[in-house]
Amino acid sequence: MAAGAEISWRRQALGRRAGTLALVLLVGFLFIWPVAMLFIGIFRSAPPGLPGEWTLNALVRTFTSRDTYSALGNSVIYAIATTSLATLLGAAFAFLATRTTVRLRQCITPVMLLVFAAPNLFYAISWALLADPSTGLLNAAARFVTQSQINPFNGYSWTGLIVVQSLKLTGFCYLLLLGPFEAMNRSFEEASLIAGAGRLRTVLLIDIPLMTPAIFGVVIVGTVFGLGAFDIPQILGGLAGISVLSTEIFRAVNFSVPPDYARASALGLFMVFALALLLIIQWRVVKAGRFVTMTGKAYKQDRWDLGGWSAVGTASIAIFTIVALLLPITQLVLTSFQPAIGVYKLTLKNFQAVLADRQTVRAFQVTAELAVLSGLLAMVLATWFGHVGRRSPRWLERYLDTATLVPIVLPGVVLAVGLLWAYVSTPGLRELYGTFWLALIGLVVAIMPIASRAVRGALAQIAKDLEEAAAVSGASSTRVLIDIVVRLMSRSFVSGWLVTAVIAAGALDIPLMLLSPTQPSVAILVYSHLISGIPTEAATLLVLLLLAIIAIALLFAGANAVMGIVRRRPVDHMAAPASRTDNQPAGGMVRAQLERPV
Amino acid sequence: MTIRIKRRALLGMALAAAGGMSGTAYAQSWAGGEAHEKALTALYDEAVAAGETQVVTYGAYTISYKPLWDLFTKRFPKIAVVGNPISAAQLLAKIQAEITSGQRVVDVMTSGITDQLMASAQGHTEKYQPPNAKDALAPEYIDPNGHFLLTFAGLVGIVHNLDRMPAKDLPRSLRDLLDPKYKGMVIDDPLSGALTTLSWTELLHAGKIDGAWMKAIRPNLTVVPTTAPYFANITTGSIAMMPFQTFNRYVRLKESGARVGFVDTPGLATPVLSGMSVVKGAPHPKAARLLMAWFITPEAQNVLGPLGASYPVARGSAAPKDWPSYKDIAAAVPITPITEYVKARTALEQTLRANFK
Repeated sequence: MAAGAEISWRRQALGRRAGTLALVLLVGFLFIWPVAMLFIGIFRSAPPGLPGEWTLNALVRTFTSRDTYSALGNSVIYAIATTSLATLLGAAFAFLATRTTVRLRQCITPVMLLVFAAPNLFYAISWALLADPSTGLLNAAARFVTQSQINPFNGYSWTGLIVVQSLKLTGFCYLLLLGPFEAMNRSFEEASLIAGAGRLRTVLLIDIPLMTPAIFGVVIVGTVFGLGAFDIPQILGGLAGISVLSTEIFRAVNFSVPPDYARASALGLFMVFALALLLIIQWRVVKAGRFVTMTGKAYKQDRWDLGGWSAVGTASIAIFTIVALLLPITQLVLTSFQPAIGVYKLTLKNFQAVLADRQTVRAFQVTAELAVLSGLLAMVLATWFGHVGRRSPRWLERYLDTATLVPIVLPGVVLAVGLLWAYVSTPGLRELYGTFWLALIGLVVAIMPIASRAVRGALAQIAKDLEEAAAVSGASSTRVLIDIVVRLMSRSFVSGWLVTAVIAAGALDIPLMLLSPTQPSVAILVYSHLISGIPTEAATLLVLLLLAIIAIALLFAGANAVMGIVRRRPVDHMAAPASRTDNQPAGGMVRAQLERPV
Repeated sequence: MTIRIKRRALLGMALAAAGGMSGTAYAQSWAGGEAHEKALTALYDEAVAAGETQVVTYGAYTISYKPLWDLFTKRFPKIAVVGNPISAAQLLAKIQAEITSGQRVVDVMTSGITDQLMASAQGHTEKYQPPNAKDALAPEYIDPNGHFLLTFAGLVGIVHNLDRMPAKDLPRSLRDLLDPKYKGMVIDDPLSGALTTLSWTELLHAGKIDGAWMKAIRPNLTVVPTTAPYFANITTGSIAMMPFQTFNRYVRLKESGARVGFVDTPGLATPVLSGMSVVKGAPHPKAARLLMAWFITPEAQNVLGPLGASYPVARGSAAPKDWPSYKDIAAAVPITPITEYVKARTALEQTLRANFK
């Protein structure tokens, strides 16, 4: 018996090691190899995959150039300023949406989703037109109101750059913080209030520290996003004479003949350093168990009435909605009805041209398939990796964490080139090139950093003892993952899925390099129209894309609401808690989590 | 200058012209003669017999040329043309990837002379000369190595907002551009391979500019990776003028009602040539050869102006009458011959690196 048990134990241990090895190889293949292919290119005289010599030329050339350090300095200022502002706004609005009774709070999530869904390129163009220093609508309005010749708004400036990018980034930060804010245990606040602390002090000393893992995740992704942001710096910064790392990388890859992959990769090193630094800080700050707020014990979820401050909260929501959403969307819609940008005549010609194009319908199909599947796959993989990481040695946890973040260090266009070379140089996989499937893999790789940050924040709030209790009770690892982890983080999972799907729907660089032009995505069609000098038709496609996203989101919310009503009925008869303000048993909390519409 | 364009009217005129031009004998039928009609019909039959129902072409204008592709499909109903508007480095990288992967998509490169020369030097394009090439094109439009044809032309000049930069304030010469009052002009990077590169290659080769001029103009310029996003600024007027811009863009803006003008002064404006080639290992090779042959027929060349906003280059073909004279502009800045182009481009890069920072 003992020998049999020994053999069985050894087999299990061997199986675990084989599983670990397979996981390490899979993660390395998916996330590290494409970037490694590019970085090998720093030391090659020819593009990756082509014959060349080993050289330090690009490294020396890049690191001795004044342009490099000018772009680096600008990028750091840009990333820090926009991330700080966006995280602050995102957290404030997440707090208003989940923890208060202010009016219009139900509007925040749809507004943020739309702000986030608006593609960067047109957000930049819309704001360039709105805040044009001479003819922008905002300046026209200012002149009209003051009856003077003042032009207070200038999109082509540092202020313009930072404000516009921050507004866009706020949607992203909010969506990532929403799940953790909703899942937070209110009993800590109650204890603080009972102990005599005021509400502001409770927010500062209880809520914000509890949100540290989620906020850190957002800060990391936001900062690296800021470093890699391209469209807004290109359009607004270009005319202001502000160059950042991403525009320098883009220039090296797209506007050098032949493409200067070596310089692009060398510039990307700065982003790797930044990412490594931020990860080290996060690992030091977020230590296991310090931030658990979701346990097997009961907790409260009631909202605060802010009293006189409610009006301020409501006004903030209204102002943000107007500035971050309605103004640029109005400009976008207006553009879709114009014969040319800046020509104020209305026409349906753009819609007729776009709808008459046979590729339009196909592009929407391809985009929907890519967005839904890549978002789902990324969240499933991120949850799996996060779950395995928590139960593994620290080296494996950090390997999984770092590897899934690696793709974010390079702007999309550079990552797309890395993916392209990684796959086309592999016999057996190169047949995937130009197919839907490689574009899907590419998008999963690209959005994985966001998925993994969304998951990591949510996982940090689930007590390990819940999983351990299930495992002790005989549940397999898979069952623990599905029945405990996934169910408890279901709201964060769905939020993450929505966020990543929306990013994938608007992604351009990867589909552009990896999809066949015979089956384009909407973003590719938009890009095609833009660079072909037909921005009004590009705006029309974007308006249709936004309408599609809104329609799907409404259908999704409606379906969830119906499901919630259907599920709630039997629960009511089972003496489940009548109100969220009551103390709930753990099971009741889980059900309540699952029942609420997303 | 300003022009008035009614696309449908011009299309009608152009089709009529293509059907019965009174110029050379070549232009008297849609294909340039009975023999060519037969040759192109044979190419079409071969493509259809091989099951080729589409031809994929990469190049900056391949989306804006959609009306031309529709005309092609009208002539050859069983073959559709799909465009992908990538160019320069992106285009070459994508072709390289397709070759390495074996997953071939592109059939035809419709791109500038630099891309054509680089692709042929890398062995990416096949040697092919359509049956009608010698009748349709002068020898200077045919690659001596047989890899590509120069099939259309364009002008590069100054696009300006008529309200912000009225005619009296416009520069009259390249030297005028050095005046500090023009500070803030937006151009794409002259080393990027885009329009400024093409224009300056011709200007330097023609002796119209030199290193000193490049050094002197630099303070007046805002250099961006690509000027594509800034056309809206020309129509709104926040950018008063953009030098080294294509006439094609101006035509599109003008068609849509924007208050813009184009400076076509010979010596200040430059001609640029683009071409077509069949990519080696193309998945639809017969349809690709057909498209290339059709593009230089009178039917295609005579509608290049109204439908493609480009200048035709085939014998007997004509651009819209109210367009600037390509001949005058090419006389002031002669086009660099294909055989000298690589040398001219290298000279530009060297001069830029020494003088333009």
